[in-house]
Amino acid sequence: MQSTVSRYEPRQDRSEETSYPSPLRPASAHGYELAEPEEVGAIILSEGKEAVSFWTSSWRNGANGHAEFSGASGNFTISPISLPVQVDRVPQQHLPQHRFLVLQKWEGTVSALKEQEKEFVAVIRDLTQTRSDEEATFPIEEIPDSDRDLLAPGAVFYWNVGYELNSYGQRKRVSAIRFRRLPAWTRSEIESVRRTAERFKGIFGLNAQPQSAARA
Amino acid sequence: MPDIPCEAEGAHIILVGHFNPSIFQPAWLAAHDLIRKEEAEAAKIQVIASEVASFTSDWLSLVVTDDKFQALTNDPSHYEPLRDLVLGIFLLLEHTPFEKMGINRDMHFRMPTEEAWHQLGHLLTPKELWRSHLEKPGMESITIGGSPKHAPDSHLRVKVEPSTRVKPCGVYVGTNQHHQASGPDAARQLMVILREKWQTSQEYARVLSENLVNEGYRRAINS
Repeated sequence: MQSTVSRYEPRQDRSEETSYPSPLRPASAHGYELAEPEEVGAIILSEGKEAVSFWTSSWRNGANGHAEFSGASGNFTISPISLPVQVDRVPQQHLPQHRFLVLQKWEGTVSALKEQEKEFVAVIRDLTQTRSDEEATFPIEEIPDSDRDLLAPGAVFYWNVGYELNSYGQRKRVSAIRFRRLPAWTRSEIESVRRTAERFKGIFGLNAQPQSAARA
Repeated sequence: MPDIPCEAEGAHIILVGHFNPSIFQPAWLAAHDLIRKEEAEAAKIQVIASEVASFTSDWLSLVVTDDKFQALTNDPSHYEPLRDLVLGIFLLLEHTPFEKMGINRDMHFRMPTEEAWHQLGHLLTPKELWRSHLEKPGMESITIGGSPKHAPDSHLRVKVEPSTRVKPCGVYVGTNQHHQASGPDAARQLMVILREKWQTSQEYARVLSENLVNEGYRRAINS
C-alpha cells in the first residue's frame, strides 16, 4: 500500500453518493497544509460541482480556511473563510478526545420498577453475541440524570460495557446506560399500523362480527 | 495467530433527497427529546443556515445540506442511538422526501508489520501489470461492490485504503450499503429498512472488514 500526501480523490460517479467520503488525506496546496488530517471539521459535498469543503483550525500556517476541490480540474483552491453562508464558529474536530472500546453491549427493556429498593428489573438481549434473553436488576443510580424521566416499564435502553481510552492510552473500565429516545408515533404511522391490522384481520377472517354481537 | 484489533471506528447514515437544513439545530433535537438537553447545550455549531447545518456534539456529528443528510458517530457505544436519532428525526419530519440511503461503517486497523501492510495491498491489487509502467506501485484505494447475502436488494461497496487515522501501517476499510426506494412512500420504506436492517448491516460490515484484514495478514505470514 502507499499513503498519499497531497491529493484528495473526487467521487467518480453518482452511485457512490450515499457513501461518506473516506477520511481526508493530508492535503497541501498553495502553501496551506493540514497539520493533521484528523483536524478536519466538516465535509460538505455539493451536488454537480463535486466540491468538497472543509474547515480546519490547524492549517500549518495558522490560517483558518475554506478549501474547495474541483473534481473536473483536479485543483484545490483555498481561501480564507469564504463560505456562501455565515460561519458562526470555526469547528473543532469531530473526533472524540477519548474513544470507547466496546466489550459487550445489550439492549434492555424495563419490566418492573422497584422504587423502594431503588432498582429496576429489565430483560436484556446481548447485541454482541447470540444468546438467549436474560433478566437483570440495575440500581436506578446507574441511569444518568438526564435519562431518569425515561425510566418506565416498557422503556428501551442500551447498556455498554467496555474500556474508555484517553489520548494517553490509559484505559478505564466503563459501564454506561442510555435510554432510547424516539418521538411518539405520528398520526400517519398509527393509520398505517391500523391498515396493516385490518389487512391481517381480513387474512385470518376476523372481520366478520361475532354472531351474538350481530344479533344485538 | 491473534486477530488484528480495530483501533478506531465509526458509523454513519446518509440520506439523499431534499432537506431544509436550518431545522437541524441541536436545540430543535433536544426540544423533541431526541438528544439530551446537555448534549444540545454542549454542541459545537459550525454552521446553521438555510443552505447548510453542521454541528458536533459529544458523540454525534450532523451535516445537512439541501440535498444530503449525514449523521455520524465515532463512538461504537452510540451506534444504536445514532440509528434511533435518524428514525426519530424522520418520524417527526415524516413528509421529507428522500429516496436513497447509505448505511455505512468505517474501521481502522493496524497491521503488525510494514511487510504485512504491503502484503495486504498486494493481495487486493496484484502489481505485476503495473511494474512495467510504474516504479514501486502501491495501492492507494480500491473499491469492490456487490450484493450482501443478507440484503440482496441492496448494493454493498467496500473500500480499502491506507488509514489516515491509524499510523503507521494502518488500514482503512469502509463499507457503504446503499438502499434505494421509489414512490411517494420511499422515505418510509427506507426508514423501515434502517430500523430492521441496521443491526445486521453493522454486524455484516464488521465481520467482513475484520475477515478481510485478518485473511490478508494470515496470507502475509504464510507467504
